[in-house]
Formats: sequence, structure tokens, C-alpha cells
Amino acid sequence: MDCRKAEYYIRQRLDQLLSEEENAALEQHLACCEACAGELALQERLSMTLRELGREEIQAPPALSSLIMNNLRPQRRSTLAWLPVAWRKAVAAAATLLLLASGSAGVMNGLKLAGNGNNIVMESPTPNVAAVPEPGSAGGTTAPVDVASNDNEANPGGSDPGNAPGTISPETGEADKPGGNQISSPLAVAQNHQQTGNSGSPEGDIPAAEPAGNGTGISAPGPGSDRVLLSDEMKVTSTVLKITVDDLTTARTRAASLAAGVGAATQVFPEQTSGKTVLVMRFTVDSDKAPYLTEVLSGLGTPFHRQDEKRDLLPLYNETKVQYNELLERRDAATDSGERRQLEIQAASYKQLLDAWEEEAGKQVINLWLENK
Amino acid sequence: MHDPKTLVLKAQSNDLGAFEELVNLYQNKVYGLCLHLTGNPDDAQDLAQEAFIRAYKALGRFRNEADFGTWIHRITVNVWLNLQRKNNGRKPVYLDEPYPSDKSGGLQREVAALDGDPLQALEEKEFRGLVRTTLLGLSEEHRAVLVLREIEGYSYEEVSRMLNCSLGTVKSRLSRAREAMRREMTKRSREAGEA
Repeated sequence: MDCRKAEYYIRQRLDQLLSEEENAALEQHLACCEACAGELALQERLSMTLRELGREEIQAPPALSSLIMNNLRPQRRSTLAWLPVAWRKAVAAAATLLLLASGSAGVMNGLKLAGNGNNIVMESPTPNVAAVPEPGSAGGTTAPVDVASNDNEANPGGSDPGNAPGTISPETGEADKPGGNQISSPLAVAQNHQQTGNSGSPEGDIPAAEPAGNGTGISAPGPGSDRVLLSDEMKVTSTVLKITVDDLTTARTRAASLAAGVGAATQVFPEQTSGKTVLVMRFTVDSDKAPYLTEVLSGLGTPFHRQDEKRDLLPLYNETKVQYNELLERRDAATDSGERRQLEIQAASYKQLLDAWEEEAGKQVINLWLENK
Repeated sequence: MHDPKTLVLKAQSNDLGAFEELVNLYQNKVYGLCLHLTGNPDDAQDLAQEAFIRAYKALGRFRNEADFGTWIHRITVNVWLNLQRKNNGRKPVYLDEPYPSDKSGGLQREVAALDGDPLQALEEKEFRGLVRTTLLGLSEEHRAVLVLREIEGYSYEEVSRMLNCSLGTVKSRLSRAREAMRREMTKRSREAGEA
């Protein structure tokens, strides 16, 4: 054996990968080669020293635990990560609306419902809310429009959807923290109910809503529209389905078409690009049609992840309703027009959430994650 | 006190107190790894904190049949690797291929130069100190694989899962890491001797 082969055997020996014969051959070489024997001794000393480092008792700083927990506690109140998928979507949509509403583009434009396929009370429709064609409906539900052709309209406030709260970073798979508009918004309510949510898998985070132009809109509700507390369950089943596809645009159009075929409401979120381009679509569909839709959507590409969850929205729904009714009372009592306007905006966003949850109760939500190959 | 699996289950049901117990159970283990990776207490504390927060966020994906300690170590090392790559502003450099200058065989010259190798003369304490400082000078990939395999004692299979690479890659990377460690130690030791 020459020194070069001995070098290889020494490395193997450090990991106990030598056979008896190989070990014997190495020993034979080491007996007559001082350099290689020294090298082995040195390598073994190095390994032993590293192992000893691992055996040292290292105590974490006393403050570490409290630092972590202090960090987590406010986080539970300030991010959407712990909300179940359905809630996160709705809350993110509401937060988006609040951002839009704070701009000059007009409140009502921003209050188009984030794609639950339901027409909601429109007390005073604004002239600049473009009418959206409805290509047909099925099962009594407003069918989704061609999502590929409605992107611009879907972002009526003209704000950058990428900056909307609750957007997802495809790179990290985690939701960005929502913006600063949460105070006295439904977010605050949602955040106080984290304990009923799921354990925030980053995979379940959904970007901020980009309504698919389903022609729905809401306005601040009028007097007497107080809601009655529900006493029953509000179960929502949701599925996250991630697939890789050859072409996002084709897959998106095909997915919308498949959803329309079973009367599902469609919602498209802004594309996110960071390395890979990701597009998330959200379908609300009758439970009996959900398995079929899930199956055909899976056929659009290569599925690589699926997660199902079932949640009871009732506690959050009831609390939101309480807040909503209080807002209505405050709005009716307000004498200042500016304050009244603000309260209307807030109430409208609450209403949107409540409507979305009502619409989704008993149905299945499919969050389709399309990713470029 | 509950066992880790029960605590994980509770934490997965949003029991923050249970997660706090998990933190208390595993903080020394995690902090120890962080210290070996970063080399200084402040960075180690930051890394440990970030690792636990990531673990908390991803708890829903954790399958409880696995070992929580291994899982959070995996998160820790990956958070650290990503941070290093981000801070360095470059893609990871995997030194799994032979060194360009090693055409004649990496150890050959080292072996030939062993006469009077300054490493052999080092006292235990000096040797250990040199190991520590040299480890921190290695590339992040080499450091990670050495720390996980040699210091933390994970098997090749576990290391390959933790680093998301093949078993063969782990073996070759480990071999290269040892070689780089050995070479750098000799260099540093010589420099110290000449100074």
C-alpha cells in the first residue's frame, strides 16, 4: 500500500468503514510508515477533541427561554400565521381592504368581496366599480369569471398587491406580518382567538386576496342589519394542494375552468416570484363536489403536497359579530361625518368577513398552489 | 412535567405553556449547537431564539413520531446556513469536489510534510483551542457537517436528512471537511510558531 491509498483508508477508518482486510492492510502500512501513522494519530486526536466538545455541558443563557416566549406571545397577537387557512385568507382580505380604503381610490372600490361567489348588500354602489360579466352560474352560485382576464380589475385600489398584508413569500413560505391597520379591525378580533386556530404551518399561509372579479361588492351596512349570533357550528373544511406545472397561465385558466364546471367560486392571489413563480388560487365549492374538483385540479401538474384541515369558525364568528354590531352602533351615534365614514369602513370589512364565513360554512375551500417547474 | 411527545401534541393544539416546557427542555441542546456553529454567545442566543420561533411556526408540520430534539436541531442548522448564505451574499459553495490545487492528492504533501508537524507537539489545551478556532474558520457547509457528525454525534443518515443531501454527499463533505480542518490547523499552527 502506498501513502495515497493509506490516506484514503485513514479517512475510512475514522468512520469505521474499513473491512477487516482493509484495516489489516492499513495497519501493515502504518507499521512501516511513520508519516501515515502520525497522520492517523492526528486525525483521531482531532475527532476525539471534537467529540469532547460535544460532551461539554453547555447551559443556555437564563434569559433565552423568556426571550423566546416573549417573542412568541406578541407574535400570536400580531401575525396571521396561526390562523387556519380560511381565516387567514379572510382576515388578510379585510386588512387589504382597510389599506385600500385608507387611500384616495375610494372606499367602495376597495370593498369588493374577496371572491366568495356571493352578492352582498350594495346600498350605494359607486359608479366607478366596473360591472363584471358573469359567464354563467351553476348550482346557484355565482360562477367565477375568467380569472386570467380580470387581474387588473381585481386590484381596484391600485395598490401593489405585493405589499398587502398577509402576503406570502415563496422563498420563506411564511406570511409577512400584516400592516399597521389592524387596530380596531377584524384582525384584532382574529388575533384574540388564536387559541382556536391551527399550529401555523407556513405551507398553509395564503397571500393577500386578489379578488377574481366575481362582481360582488359590499358597502357599509345600514341600520337594522345587526346579525344574530349563531348557536350552531360553522365547520369549514379546507385543503391545501400544491402542484408543479409546466405553464402557470395555462394551469390557472384550466383550473378556473374546472372550478366553474362545478360551480365553485374562484379567487386568485397575486403571483409571487422569488426563484420560482407561485400562484395561489382559492376555490369555495360545495362539499359533495370538492373531492372531484380536488382530483381534477391534481391532474393539472405534479402534486407534491396536500394538507386537509377542518375548523369550527363559530367562536371567531360570534366574537366578530359582537364587534361588528358595536361598530354599527357607534357609527349610528357618530355626528362627525369623517368619523362616521371611518366607522363605515371598519364595519364593512367586518361584514365582509362575516359574509365570507357564512358563505364558506359547510363548504370546502381548496387552496391551490401552482408552482412553475 | 410531561414527556416531549405529549408536550408537542399540546403545543400543536396551541398550548403555549407546553411549548414553553419544550423550550426549557431543549434550550441547552439547541444553544450548544448554536454555540458550536456561531462561535460566540450573542450570535448563539440569537440563533437559538430564531430556531425556536421557526419551530413554533412550523409545529403543525412536525410528525410526532420523530424526535423533537433532532427536528429542532435540523431547523437550527438550516436557519444558520441560510443566514450565513444570506449574509455572505452568495450561493453556497460546496467543497465536495477535490480541491483544484490537489491534483496530486490532497494528503500527499501533508503526509510528506509531517516531519516536525507543529500540531503533534501541541498540548491538549492548545490543541483543543486550535480546533475551536479552526472550526469557525471553515466554510459553513464543512462546519455544519463536522458539528453535526463529530460534535453532536448524529449518524450519516441523520446528517443527510438534516442537511437535505444524499448520504454520499455527507460522506464526501465530511471527508473534505476533515481534510480542510487538518490543513488549516497545520497552517495556523505553523503561523503561530513562526510569529
